[in-house]
Amino acid sequence: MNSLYALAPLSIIVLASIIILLLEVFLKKENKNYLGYISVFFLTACFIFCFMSWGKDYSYFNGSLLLDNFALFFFMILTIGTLLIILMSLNYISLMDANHGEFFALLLLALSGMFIMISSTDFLVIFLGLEVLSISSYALAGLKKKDEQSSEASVKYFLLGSFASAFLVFGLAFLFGAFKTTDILGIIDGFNKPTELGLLAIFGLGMVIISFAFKIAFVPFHMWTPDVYQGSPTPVTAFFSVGPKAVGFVVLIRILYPYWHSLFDSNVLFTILWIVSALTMIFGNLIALRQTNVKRILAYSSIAHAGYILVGILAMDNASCVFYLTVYLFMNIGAFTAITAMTKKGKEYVELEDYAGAGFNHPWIGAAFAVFLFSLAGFPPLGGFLAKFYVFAAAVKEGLISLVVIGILASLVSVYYYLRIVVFMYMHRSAGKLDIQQENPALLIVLFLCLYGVLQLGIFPGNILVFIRDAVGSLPF
Amino acid sequence: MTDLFWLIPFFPILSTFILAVFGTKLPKKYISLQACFAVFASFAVSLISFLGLLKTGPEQLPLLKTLFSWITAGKFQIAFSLQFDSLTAVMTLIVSGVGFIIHVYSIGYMAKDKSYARFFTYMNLFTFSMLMLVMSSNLVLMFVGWEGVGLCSYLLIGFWYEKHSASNAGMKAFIVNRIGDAGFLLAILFLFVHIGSVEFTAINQAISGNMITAGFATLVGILLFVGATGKSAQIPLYVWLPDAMEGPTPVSALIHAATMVTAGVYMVARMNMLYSLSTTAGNIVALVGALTAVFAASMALTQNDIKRVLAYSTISQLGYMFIGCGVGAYAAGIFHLYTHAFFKSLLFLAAGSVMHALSGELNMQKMGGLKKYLPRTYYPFLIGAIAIAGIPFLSGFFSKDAILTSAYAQGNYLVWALGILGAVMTAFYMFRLIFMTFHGKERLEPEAKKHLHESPPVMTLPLAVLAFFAVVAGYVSLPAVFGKNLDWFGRFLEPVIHGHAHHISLGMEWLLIFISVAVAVLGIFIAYVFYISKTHLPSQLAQKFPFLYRLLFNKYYVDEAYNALFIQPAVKGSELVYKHFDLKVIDGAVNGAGKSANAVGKLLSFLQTGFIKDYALIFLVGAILLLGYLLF
Amino acid sequence: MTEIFLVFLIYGLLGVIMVLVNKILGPKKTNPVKLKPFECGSPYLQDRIYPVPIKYYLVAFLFLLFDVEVVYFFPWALVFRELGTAGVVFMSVYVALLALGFVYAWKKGAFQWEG
Repeated sequence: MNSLYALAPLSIIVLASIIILLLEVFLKKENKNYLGYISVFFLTACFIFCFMSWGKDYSYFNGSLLLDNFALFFFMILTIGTLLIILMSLNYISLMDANHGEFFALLLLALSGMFIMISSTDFLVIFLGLEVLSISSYALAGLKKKDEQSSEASVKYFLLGSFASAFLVFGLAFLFGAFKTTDILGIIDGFNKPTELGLLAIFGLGMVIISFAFKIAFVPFHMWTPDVYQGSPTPVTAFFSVGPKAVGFVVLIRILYPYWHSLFDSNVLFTILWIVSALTMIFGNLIALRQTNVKRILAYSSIAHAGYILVGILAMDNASCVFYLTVYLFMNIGAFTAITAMTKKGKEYVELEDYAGAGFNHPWIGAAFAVFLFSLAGFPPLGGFLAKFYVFAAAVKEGLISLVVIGILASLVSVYYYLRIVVFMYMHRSAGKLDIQQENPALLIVLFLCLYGVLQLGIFPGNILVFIRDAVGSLPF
Repeated sequence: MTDLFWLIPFFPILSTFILAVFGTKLPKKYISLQACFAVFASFAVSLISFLGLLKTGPEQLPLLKTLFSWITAGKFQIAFSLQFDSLTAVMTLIVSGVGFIIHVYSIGYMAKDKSYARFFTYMNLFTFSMLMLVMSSNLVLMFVGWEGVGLCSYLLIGFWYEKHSASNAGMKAFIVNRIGDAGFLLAILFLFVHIGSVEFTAINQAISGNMITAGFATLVGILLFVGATGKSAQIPLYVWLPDAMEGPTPVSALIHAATMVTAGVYMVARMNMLYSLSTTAGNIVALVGALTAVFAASMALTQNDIKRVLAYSTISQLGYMFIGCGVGAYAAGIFHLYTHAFFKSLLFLAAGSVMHALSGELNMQKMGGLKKYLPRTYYPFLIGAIAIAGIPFLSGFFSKDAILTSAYAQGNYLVWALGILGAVMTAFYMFRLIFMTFHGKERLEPEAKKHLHESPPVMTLPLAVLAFFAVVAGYVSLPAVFGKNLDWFGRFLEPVIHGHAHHISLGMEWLLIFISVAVAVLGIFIAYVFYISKTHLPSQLAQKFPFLYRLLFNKYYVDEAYNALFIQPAVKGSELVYKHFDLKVIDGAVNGAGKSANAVGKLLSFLQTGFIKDYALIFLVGAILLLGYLLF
Repeated sequence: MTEIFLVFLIYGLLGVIMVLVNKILGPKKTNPVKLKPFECGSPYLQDRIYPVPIKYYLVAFLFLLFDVEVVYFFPWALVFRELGTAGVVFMSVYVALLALGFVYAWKKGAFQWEG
């Protein structure tokens, strides 16, 4: 249904970020928490709107902005994710001397970029969204202006990100050259008609996929991830680890789902993605074994998780991918919240040794962190287990046995480094170094919500699955 | 109002959450108030729903409420849904009603315990699990409740975990129950594979649609019954229940007498359509029940621990319930479950009151003559004993009579005879208990005598309430000899119970009633002779038949046999496996794999140089390889 | 068609191979001084990055931003009549957004050369 309502979620978020920017420059208050609350208000409004328009199929700009259920579902979970990230960082940014009102505005702008990418089926518009997302992300990564690592992260992300964007545009040029359209379905349709330009097009498609592989951090396009994740402020890292990844997968699903169904011989791309998935699972987990920095461990773990989700895409089971992303959002944000909590003025505790005995000194945070790590490792009855189970089950059904074997072996390896953190928290004597000033209510609320999400999705996934099936059902084909 | 029935389990779980999180910070008074109120709220909603159910036509039954879909894995779909019909109504009323009375009693009994909040958390969690068990509309959710009550039972048996015997008893209960659960789980899987659903309505439809053969029904029926023998302490898995008496007495009353142990009976009654297909399964249920009834009663004859006598008595009474279910008189079985809940929890609570008065003394040989000190405990105890012995016009008489009559009517004379034998023993051991505890010479320890006191009203009042019900509860279902259509209870259950009752002539029924009353009186008389008038007789008998006495006193050496047959081999075997396989093969492989993975990880992390140019190079190499593969 | 790609690939691979060969064969003698950013041969003055004033670049950025955005007016002007009211509304939103951005930059002090 062509309706201006399709613009509403995007407008709400952009409006919020502009209001925050103006308040920031005009009021010049020391304490920025009020800006956080304003963003929470707008995010809630956006969430409610998305929830109300479920199933209404609004679209605008001749369908290049499309609020199908699939898009709405991701709108909702990303809105929740951003909300959690804002709540957890309220105290953090002042402790880290990164107390800029722009933080909230940039987060919201990044969210709006993701909205554009999610809700569009036109590559040009997707590119637009990608740039909005990326430029905000570069600035977010360097939020701790006086911190070397943060600046380094920002620059690295910027340079490599532009490199990847160039691939997208270049690929797009090839695709447009071949089929005279930038619409995803039009392009896939083009593949069905034999033309001499097919080679040109498949080359272009490959480049487009590479640029999203960069955003998602598939091996071998993952090199930026650990450095950027480690250097960025922790809440921003949490954001990077879920937001762009989810969006990347959304675009991949939008491209690949019809592509698998096209008459064009899609085996080559399938083989490539098969290899990429296997590499991602193996490399991500193996390198994580050696790390001693908790943020870096989680960075590699996020690479590995991308590999698992790709298994679901190869199995052509979108519902399991979406479920995985939903679970992943809660457990990863939860884990990063626990890390965010381990902070005092001007100092973050991110080394494994810092966590010795943390489980006893800070029982709530420690216990919650342990639960998130168990979930990431895939222990039942937590969400992470079911997510892996659905993905691997779908893959087995499609006959991808060897990939599943690789995946299961890789996730066995992953248990080691997740449990290593737990071992440090509960089985090593406290060195007495941990002196944190972060146990504030907003952060505990986030921990609780994530805990709830992980448990709910692990034990009673039924309702969410109904939603997801509805969402995936709205995709063409 | 009936559509609110799904709220019944909601109150206890809410209370559990609050107590689990804030329990240690709340004052005791508030904790007890909240815990009791939660159960009372469940009871109130159960009552309202029950009254509503009376007005609802049978064609609308069972009332179903799907809260949300729970597990969806392909064809395997399970909804989190509750149901309410007459059987559920009876069970929820018992669970929440008796549960409420026992909660109130616990306020007094546990008053001085340091883990007050923990106790009520577990009790509320138990109430929730039990309500889920009886209200679930499918077998899987029922299994969740089944495991939930098992867990709470384990936690509460081992409540005083500092005591070694208590934590051991908890583990014993848990492990023995696991064996039964395996059977139950297998039955669920068989049903799912065969019918494609685990909803009770779907199973019943499949049965009425002749989708199930008698052989399959026998298999599943026996597997389900294996589950029931675990939870309801029947031969051969009854061994955990006497040990479970290590828990606090209110726990014994609520879980190990009134509610949880009857879950097996409930399950068999719930699956009555399946059992009606297979006479073999039914006969096995009845026979095991009858054997258990006699066997457990004989073990109760010589025990000196007051709670253990009651525990064996519970096992024996559960045997009666299974007789009822096995011979097709499901209503009679459930009826006995219902009356038993009152008089047995009454006996346990009264025993608890005696213990409370004697500073925790359990040995009956150190009691005697307590009648004059504890009148408010004595009279309820006496009423409970009369009720269980089967003296006419108290509740136990009606229900036991209904079961034995049905067994006889079905032509199962062996089972009937065993039941009568059990009844003699029941009357005997129950009155042996009364006489040894409340009558005769005082054999108190001087220390205990000093602190001897009647229990506070918060404990004796529940006794009075339960005593009242132990007397009147039976009048909802009178035998046919007192007139036609007095069996309200049976008619109320009719929509759920699909059995057909056998009828016998009124004269025959009078005869049966007479026999059972006569044996009850006989049992009491023997007890009187042995323990009041000629107190030297028991020891003389014991000397005359030393073998029999020792066999009974040591409970037929079943625990020892299990230990030698199952436990020791398992322990030895696992030690062997640990030494030779685990340490060498598994650990070796695991350590080797771990080391090599670590080494590869080390190698790979060299790539992570930190230079952007290297990152970009790797990106480019990857891109070129990918695109190259794509093109050729 | 294929030949073009062949050429592309061969050159691409060639470039990669040359860099890799360089990496593998070239002698690597690093020392801390060598790894420092190159500053015209003179010794390194500061070892931390401090924010440096980049006023000139800032003005250049802003100029570029507001200048290039104006480009969008031209296509709009061409189809002004056909778009009608909706076009005016959209353009006003666009201009308003730009103006707000301008206000933000102004208040943030982006146009102040001194201080």
